[in-house]
Amino acid sequence: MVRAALAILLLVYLATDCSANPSSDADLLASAEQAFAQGIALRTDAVKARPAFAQSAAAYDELWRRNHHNPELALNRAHAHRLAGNLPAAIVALHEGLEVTRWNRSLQVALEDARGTVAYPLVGNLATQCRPTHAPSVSARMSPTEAWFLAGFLWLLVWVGLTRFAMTRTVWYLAFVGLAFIALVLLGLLWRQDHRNRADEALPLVVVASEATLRRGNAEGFPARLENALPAGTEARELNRRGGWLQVQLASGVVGWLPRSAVLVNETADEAVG
Amino acid sequence: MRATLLLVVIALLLLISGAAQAQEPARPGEPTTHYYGAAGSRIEVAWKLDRTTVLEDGEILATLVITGATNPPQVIRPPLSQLPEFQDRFVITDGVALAPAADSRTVSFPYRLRPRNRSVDRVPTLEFRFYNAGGPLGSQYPTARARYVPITVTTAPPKLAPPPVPLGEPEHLFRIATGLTLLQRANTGPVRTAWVLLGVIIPLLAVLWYATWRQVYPGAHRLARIRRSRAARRAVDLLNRAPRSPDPPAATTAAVLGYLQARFALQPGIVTPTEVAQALRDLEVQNTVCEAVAEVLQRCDAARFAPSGESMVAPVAAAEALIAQLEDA
Repeated sequence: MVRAALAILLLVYLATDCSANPSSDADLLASAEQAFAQGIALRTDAVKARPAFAQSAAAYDELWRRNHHNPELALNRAHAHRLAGNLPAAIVALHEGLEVTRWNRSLQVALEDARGTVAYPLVGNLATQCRPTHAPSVSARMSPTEAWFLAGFLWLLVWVGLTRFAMTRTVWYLAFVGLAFIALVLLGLLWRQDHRNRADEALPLVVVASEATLRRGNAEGFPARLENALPAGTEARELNRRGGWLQVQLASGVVGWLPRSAVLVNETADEAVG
Repeated sequence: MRATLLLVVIALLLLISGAAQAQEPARPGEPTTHYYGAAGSRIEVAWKLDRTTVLEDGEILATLVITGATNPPQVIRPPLSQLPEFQDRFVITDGVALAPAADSRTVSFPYRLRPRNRSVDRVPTLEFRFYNAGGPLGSQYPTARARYVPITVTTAPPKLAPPPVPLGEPEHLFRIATGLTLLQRANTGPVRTAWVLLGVIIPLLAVLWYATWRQVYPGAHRLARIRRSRAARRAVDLLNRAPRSPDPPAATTAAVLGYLQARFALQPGIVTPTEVAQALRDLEVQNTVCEAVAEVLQRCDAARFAPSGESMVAPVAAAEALIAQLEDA
């Protein structure tokens, strides 16, 4: 009797515990959407609207931290951060979304749009040195599911052709099989090459949060590496850390040091490095 | 020579004494405070303000007017910023004083006074001592006073808030996805098992299809096997195309004859069913086969020349069966 009562109590506890988290997530989502709607209502006054969008962005960030990783949430985060006036956080959010679904076209477009608003100086070639350039890749255009279906279709063609050849001894079927097999191999090679090309993305992403000077060493006393300071939103890859400073590499390959306080670091990558 | 030296020394002494006389000697009893070099017998000083009511963060232009001085150019500006009663009340900026006219006995010193707070209620009295050469001994430095002037410091009007600036971000940023789908995890693609299944299941399905096909169409399987014979493959291809030719029975006959000529090296002139059967018998082919060949050719002729005609399906199928039988033999 006592055991049965304890079992019932345990079940009740587990049921309430399991239901508590989803409910709070839903509440958090509702608060994020509410704050965003409030920001839209106040959009005629930027001073009043931005805090509302910042509040919405904070709630979306919390949902992301709770492992609700999907492209729609990443896009919402980015929109809320941008409307709150926090471009670097928006860029980080888009990168985190693309880590989950790198083929998502909406995130890719939003990232390019955000990169276009980084305030590089009009004079000099800082923008050329800092803007990441990406060659078109198969994994950025096709999801693994789509690749699975395409590979399956080609594999099916190969075997249909082989079977028909076995049935009819018609040589044309062998040519058909050959074409399908070549397409299948080509797809595999493209995917493998793309995987190799992404090796540089294994380095943690760093986004400049506030205008900072890239220095030759890890102290303010070192001379500047570049003539102009890096504007907020500049992307780089982290190479090393020392004494509150990060050694980073720009898209052009230029290496220098930035204070840790002046950059946002991709959280997941940050944990991996730390 | 000695006389010359004496003259030079005397001249130097005279020069030195002349320079000493040029400097204004400090008069006995000259005050150290509130004395600004003015001289005269009857000097008056007064404050002249451009306004007596001033905003909290505004300024008053206060001009100190000194009249009756006999030496206006020598009168120096009273340093208000060093006088505590002024310094405590105002932030003081000296204005530009105009040089007095040559025959004027008046001199003015403008100041810009900004009240430090709202409790400031006056421009204080300024003591102004001057030198009166005709005065009795001991009272040659009387004091004139610029009497205080009451002022009112009013509250500054509240600063108008700047007009609101709307958000200038692109319109698409204001659209977001909503709903509980945002709490789902993204589909990151098929798992490894799905790839393995894809690799295994499709070949299995193909094998299954082939086995079923062999089970359902055993003749077709045999036909496929005999396609290994070049003559047979060619004949079967011709038979497949025969129904679409202008004269299907003739095409069927030609396909069968072509096969027999290739397979048994028959003479080109042997074309009738009887001639073909006889030629095959001469080559010691089984009699049943010879009769089957003759029958197929006769059916083709019947389809070709008979008034009612015969369906082409049967002769083509019979021809295919014949070729299969000959390949098996």
